[in-house]
Amino acid sequence: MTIFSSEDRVIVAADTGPLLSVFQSNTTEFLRRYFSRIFIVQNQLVEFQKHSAATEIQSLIDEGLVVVIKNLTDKEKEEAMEVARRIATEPSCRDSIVPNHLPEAELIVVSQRAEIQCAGILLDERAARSVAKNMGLNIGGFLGILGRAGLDGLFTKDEIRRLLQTCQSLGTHYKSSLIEFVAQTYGR
Amino acid sequence: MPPITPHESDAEFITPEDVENDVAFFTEALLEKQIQRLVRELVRRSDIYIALRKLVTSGRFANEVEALAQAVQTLQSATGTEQEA
Repeated sequence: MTIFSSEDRVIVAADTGPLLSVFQSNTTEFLRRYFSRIFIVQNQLVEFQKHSAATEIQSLIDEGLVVVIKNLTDKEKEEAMEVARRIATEPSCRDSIVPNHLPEAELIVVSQRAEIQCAGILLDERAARSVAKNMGLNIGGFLGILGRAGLDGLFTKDEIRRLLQTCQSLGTHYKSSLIEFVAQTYGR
Repeated sequence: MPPITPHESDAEFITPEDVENDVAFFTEALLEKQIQRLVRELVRRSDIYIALRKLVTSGRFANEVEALAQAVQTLQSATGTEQEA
């Protein structure tokens, strides 16, 4: 078992979905444990508000863990539109309206800025994951964070089950077999 | 206060393989950070840095990394900790 210290935390960019799952399951402490900084883009703030998580994200912004990137260059905006188009046309995408994918597309683009040194991007949406993967980016998601925490001995199988069932009861459509896989594979 | 609603309508399509890949990414990224910190702390010790430089200039090792790797393996063998993980 490898226990990572707080000095070994990494910088990531995070889409709205994984952070909402963190808020639903009340596991923000694991964001602090593994990440020294989490970048989001301005367009995501509307999504947090829409999903009743405006207070939670603001609290992380106030403590300095989450940083909002507000200004994209014209070139980044163009690239984001192209990435949004690619997401909208992915076979696994259920929403073909291109502008609806701009928040995650902008995040994918800005996560590649050399100066912010992102190790990867947190994405749970399959179409966006597929596009980001094809662009050669490192991808993680909420279940990956839970799995890593489990490997660090921080969760029992029952605790993982309970956390994911909480998300499930709030509307996240995890299959029960997936919950069992994560609990059995990563819980102590 | 209304409950926080999920963003991902297609979360049911996340597969065990996706989760394994995600965990592997986090593990690798954290490990890389950990190694960077260890190396930084190690070479900050001037006695170690000078010893490493001497080992390299002696011509027995190609570079500092080779010298360190050999040192760790020798120590592991000497203390009989190869089988422990």
